[in-house]
Amino acid sequence: MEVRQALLAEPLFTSPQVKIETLLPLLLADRDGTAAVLSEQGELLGLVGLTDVLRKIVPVYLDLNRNLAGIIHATYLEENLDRLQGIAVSEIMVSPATTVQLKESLLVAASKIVEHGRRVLPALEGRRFVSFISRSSVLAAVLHGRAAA
Amino acid sequence: METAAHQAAQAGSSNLYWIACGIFVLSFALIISEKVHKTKVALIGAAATIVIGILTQVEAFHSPEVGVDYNVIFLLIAMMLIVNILGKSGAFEWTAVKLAKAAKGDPVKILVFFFVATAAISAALDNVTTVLLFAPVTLLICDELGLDPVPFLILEAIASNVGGTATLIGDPPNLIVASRAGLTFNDFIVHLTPIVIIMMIVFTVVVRFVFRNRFEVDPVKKARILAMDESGLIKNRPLLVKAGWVLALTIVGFVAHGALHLEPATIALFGAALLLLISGVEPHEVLAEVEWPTIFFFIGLFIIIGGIVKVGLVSDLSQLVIHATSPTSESMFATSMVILWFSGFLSAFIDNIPYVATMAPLVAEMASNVVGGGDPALAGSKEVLQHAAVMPVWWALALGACLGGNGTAIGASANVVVLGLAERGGRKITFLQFMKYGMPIMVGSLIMSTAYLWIRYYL
Repeated sequence: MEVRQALLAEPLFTSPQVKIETLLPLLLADRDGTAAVLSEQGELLGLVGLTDVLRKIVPVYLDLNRNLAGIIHATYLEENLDRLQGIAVSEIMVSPATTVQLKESLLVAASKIVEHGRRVLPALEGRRFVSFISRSSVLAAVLHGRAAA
Repeated sequence: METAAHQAAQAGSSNLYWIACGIFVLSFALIISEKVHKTKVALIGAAATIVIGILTQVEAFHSPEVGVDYNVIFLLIAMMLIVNILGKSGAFEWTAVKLAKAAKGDPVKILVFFFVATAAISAALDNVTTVLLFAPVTLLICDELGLDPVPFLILEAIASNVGGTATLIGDPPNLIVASRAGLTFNDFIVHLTPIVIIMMIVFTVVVRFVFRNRFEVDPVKKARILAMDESGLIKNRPLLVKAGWVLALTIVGFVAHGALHLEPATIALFGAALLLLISGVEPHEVLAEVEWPTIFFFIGLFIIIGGIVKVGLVSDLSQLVIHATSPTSESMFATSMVILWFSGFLSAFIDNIPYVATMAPLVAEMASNVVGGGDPALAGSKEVLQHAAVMPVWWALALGACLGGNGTAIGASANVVVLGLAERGGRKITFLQFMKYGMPIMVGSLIMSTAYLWIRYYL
């Protein structure tokens, strides 16, 4: 089976200039909380997800010692929510993103999902973004394929 | 025929002299330039030293005079193992939060407490590890208080370098000096700890004065510090107890190593092995955290320096120093002063480890010429290396090299690490910002060292 058989029907995508406060409601409504960031030509520039948004308001020094999070005052996140104001998607997107090609096998795609711990992977045709595949869409395609056989 | 063979041998020896000089100068230049990782430079230089035949493999690996100094190597590895295991307990983070609470959230008090604590911990542990463990908590405390963390972080790096100067195990240059001169842990306590304590008292007063009106903090933010629950920071209490005991035992072992007739490396290795055995930590886990690039940097460096010692370059350089400073077996005051200030300013800009690795054999050679009268039977003997006239020169070298590291952001590993941590923590520290604090403290500490050496050894 190929990647093209497990594509999501309605992938979320955005442009790099869009502000986070505009994108956030869409990300929250999206099942996988991830959007593809595309150029005007439809090429994939990066990925932006809810984790990337959270990273902007979680203190960066916790990357040095996660254990310290337990002693920071309880309302820290609420107080620092303003850090998201005026931030463009391009400032927090993950680039380059791990991708799969439409013609690749689902095993290759599943292996990449497992390796990178991502909920979704962008599927490309050449450099053009087509859609996402997700953990559930890959498993659903595999189950469907076996039932059909 | 015999004369021709003799001439050929002399020409070959002369060639090796210049090749060894070339390898040394090139390696040093590459290390300073930072264009190639210093470990790669040291290892390729060492390999070339052996392949070309400046040193045989047996000399490079086993000679006490020109080979790898395994006392330094194993002491470094063992202390890294002990500190890595202790670090897993969360004790350092707990201590830092306790100190911030003891300061009642007052920024100047926190600055002073962290400054003193970093120095004290660095005297017993590696400087880099100390700042690695303190910096994240410092960033957190400053974030909670709404303060700029830059002065806090810079002063911690500086304190770690000053504190590390106090003991044999505090800073790698001291390890090299101790090993080359046959000095004990207690020698450092008796000769260097007093001046470091004086410096810390002076600097603490100065820091308190300079920063007295610098910070303004909202009482609500101060209250956040007092409300912190640090108990959760201790990740593994049994490990903390075991590691604490082993570290204490190891330090007692260092104090008694002369009486026990054991080298510091043996004491540290025993402590590390004991802790590995009783801690339950997987060996591969802690061994993976040893800074192997630093260890191999030392190994390569010892071989390159061994090469220039063997061909006689160090001997020639020592003659130059003797000529310039006219030391006698009665007094080497001028030599001590030149070495102190030269080491200080040079170590502010270049890595003090290769510098001391080069200077230690030079001082030993000079001692052998001035005190031992050039008698080969006395060269390297305790009688010569620890002669009353030579000892202040060793202390000048250690003080200059360790304290000089404070001058600039690249002068010591702890400074580089703090800059890296600050950047990762979201706050960039520039070279000039560091120098604004570091250079006055370096010059101040060299002035105090000058006075100390003069009063204690020459007055």
